[in-house]
Amino acid sequence: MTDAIERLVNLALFFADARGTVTAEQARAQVAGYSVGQDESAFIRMFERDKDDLRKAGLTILADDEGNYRLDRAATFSTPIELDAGETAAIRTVAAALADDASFPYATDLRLALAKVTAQIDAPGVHATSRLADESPERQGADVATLSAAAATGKRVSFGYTNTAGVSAPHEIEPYGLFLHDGRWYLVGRDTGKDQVRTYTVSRMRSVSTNSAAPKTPDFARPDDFDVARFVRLPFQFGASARSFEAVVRFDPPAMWRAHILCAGQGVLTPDGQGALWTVEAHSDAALLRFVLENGPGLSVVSPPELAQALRTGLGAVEVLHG
Amino acid sequence: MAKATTSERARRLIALMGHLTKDSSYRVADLATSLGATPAELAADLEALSMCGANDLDPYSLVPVMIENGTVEVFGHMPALSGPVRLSSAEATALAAALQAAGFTANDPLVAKILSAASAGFDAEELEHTVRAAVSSHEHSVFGILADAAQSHTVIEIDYTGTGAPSATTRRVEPAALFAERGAWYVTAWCHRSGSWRTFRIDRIREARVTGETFDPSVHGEPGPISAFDVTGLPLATLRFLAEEPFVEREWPGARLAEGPDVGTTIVEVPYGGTGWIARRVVARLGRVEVLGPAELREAVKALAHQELSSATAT
Repeated sequence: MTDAIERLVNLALFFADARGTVTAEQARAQVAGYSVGQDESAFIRMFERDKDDLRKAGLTILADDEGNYRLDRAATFSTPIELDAGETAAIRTVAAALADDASFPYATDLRLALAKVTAQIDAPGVHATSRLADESPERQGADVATLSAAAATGKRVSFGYTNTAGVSAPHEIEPYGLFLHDGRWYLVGRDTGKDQVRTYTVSRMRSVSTNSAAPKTPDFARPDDFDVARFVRLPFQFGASARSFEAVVRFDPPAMWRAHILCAGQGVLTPDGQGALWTVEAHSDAALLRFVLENGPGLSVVSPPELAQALRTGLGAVEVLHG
Repeated sequence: MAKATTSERARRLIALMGHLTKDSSYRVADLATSLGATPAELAADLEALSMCGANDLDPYSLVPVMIENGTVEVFGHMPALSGPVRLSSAEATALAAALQAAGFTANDPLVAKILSAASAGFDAEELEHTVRAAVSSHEHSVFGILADAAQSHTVIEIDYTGTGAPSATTRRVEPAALFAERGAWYVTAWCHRSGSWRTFRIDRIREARVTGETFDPSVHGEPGPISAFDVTGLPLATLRFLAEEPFVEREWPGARLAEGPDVGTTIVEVPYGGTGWIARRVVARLGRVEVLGPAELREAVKALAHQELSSATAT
C-alpha cells in the first residue's frame, strides 16, 4: 500500500512529467496512491488537498474550466541562484540560527527555503543561535505564526490582553502587520471594538485565535497605504503622542559611522560639517536623554534648549551624587 | 523536534530532489541536519522516495536513489522534478524575514537575488509593509565576512568600538559562532589582542577585513556559553534606584534585589563585564541611580559624568 507521502511525490512527478494537460481521472489511474475503486467525492477531496500541498511546495498547477491541469514549468522551476562565499555563509548562518529559534514563527518554511536556494545541501552545520524574543519565546513564536497567517489571509483574530496598567480585556483585531523590537513581537491592527489602529505586545496576549468562519474568505482588507515600519519606534518615541516634540541631536565626527544604525530610519539626518544633525520626533524627555548618553560618546542634544539644559543639570547631579 | 506532517515531509523531498545529481552520494545525517529532520525520519522518507515515480505502471520511472549504511546513493538522473523548484510564498516570506532579522533590507542585492527564485504568488512589497523582523541594523558586508570566516576558519581583522569607547580598536579575531539575542547580533571569537574568548556586538564593528590567514578551531577549546548575557563569574555592582527610577529587571541582565525597598529606594546587585558599560548606564539615569559599590565604579561614574558634562557644556 502506498503511503500519503509517496502519493504526493508521485503526483508531483506525474504533473512534471506530463507533456500536455492532464485530468483528475488520469491522475487517479496513473498515480500510485489513488484507488480506482475509491468513492468519487472522497477522491476529489483527496486530490484537491494534494494539489494544495504541492502548491505549498512551490509547484504552480494551473487548471482550466474543463478540469484540465498542467504544471506551469516557468513558474515552477527557477534557474540556480549564484551566491558567493560570503552570501552563502550569511544565509546558512541566519537560517541555522533562526530555524531553531522558537520565537521565529517561520522556522519550517525557512529550512525548506534554505534547502532550495543553497547549492550544497549537505554542508557541515553552522554554529549559530538566536533568541529573537526573550520572554516566553515558544508562546510568542506560536502566537506570531497564528497572527501572521491571519494577517496574510485577512482573517480577524481574538485574544485576551493585559495592558501596561494591568487591566485585562478581550479584543477583536483585524491584524495588519507585525514587527519585532528589542526582543518582543508586536502586532499592529484595527481594534474592531474601538475602531482604532493600535499596537499590541504579543507577550501580553492570551488565547490567540483566528476567526474560523469562512476560512477562505477574508474578513477585511488592509488599507493600501499601511506600512508597519511607521509603527516601529525608538525607545524615546513611545508614550502619548500629545507629548510629542521635535528634538535635534548632534553626531560628532567620530560617531558618524554609527549614525544611520542608531537613527534606524527615523527622522532626518542632515550633514553638519564632519558630523550631522538628526531631527527626530520624541515623546519622552528622559528616554531621549538616556538614549543619547547610552549610545555616546559623540552624541549631544542641540534642541530643545531646555532639554539640553536638563542634560547638563542631570550630569551635574550624577557628579554630586558620586562625589 | 516536532514531528513533521505528511505535507512537510513531501515538501522536504521535493526540495531535496532539486539537489540530487547522478552518481553522487550524500550522508543522510548531513541532509537531515539541513532539512530539520532526524536521520531516521529522513531515511524512512528517502526509502519512500525510492518507490516514487511519475507512472505507477513504469518501473523505470522510479526515483533512482538507494539508501545504504546511512548514505543516499543516486544512480541515475532525477525524473521530471530535476530542477530547482521555486520558493513558495511561505518559504520566500520565511527567508526574507530571516534575512531582515540579520539586517539585510529589501533593497539588498542578496535579498533581490534570493527572491528572484520565489514563485509568482509572493509579493515582496507586501511583506516589506507587513512584517519587520529586523533585530538591529549593521553593515551587512560585516555579517557576511564574519559568517564566512566562522565557517572557513579564517582569521579576520575588525575595527571595534566597545560600549562607551571614544574610538575603535583594531583586533585580529577567530570567529567561532554568530548569534542573535534580544535586539542585536553578536559574534563570539578568539581575540588575539586580549588572548581570550570575547563576544563582540556586530553593530559596533565598523569594518571587517579578511586576512587570508586560517586558524585551527581546536586550539583554544570551546568558547563557553554562547550568550551576550551570561553573567557567570562576573563582579557585582551594588546600585540604589531612587523612587522616580523604577528598577526594571529586563534592563539589567542577571540583576537581583539585594534588599527590599527602603524609604522609596531599591537596592540591586548587578553583574557587569566592563566598567564602561555599567557606568554609562548609570550616568544615563541622570542621578536617579547611584552606585554604592565598588568604589572604583563610583569613581568611573563620576569621571564619565564629568566628561559628558564638559562635552555638553562645550556644545
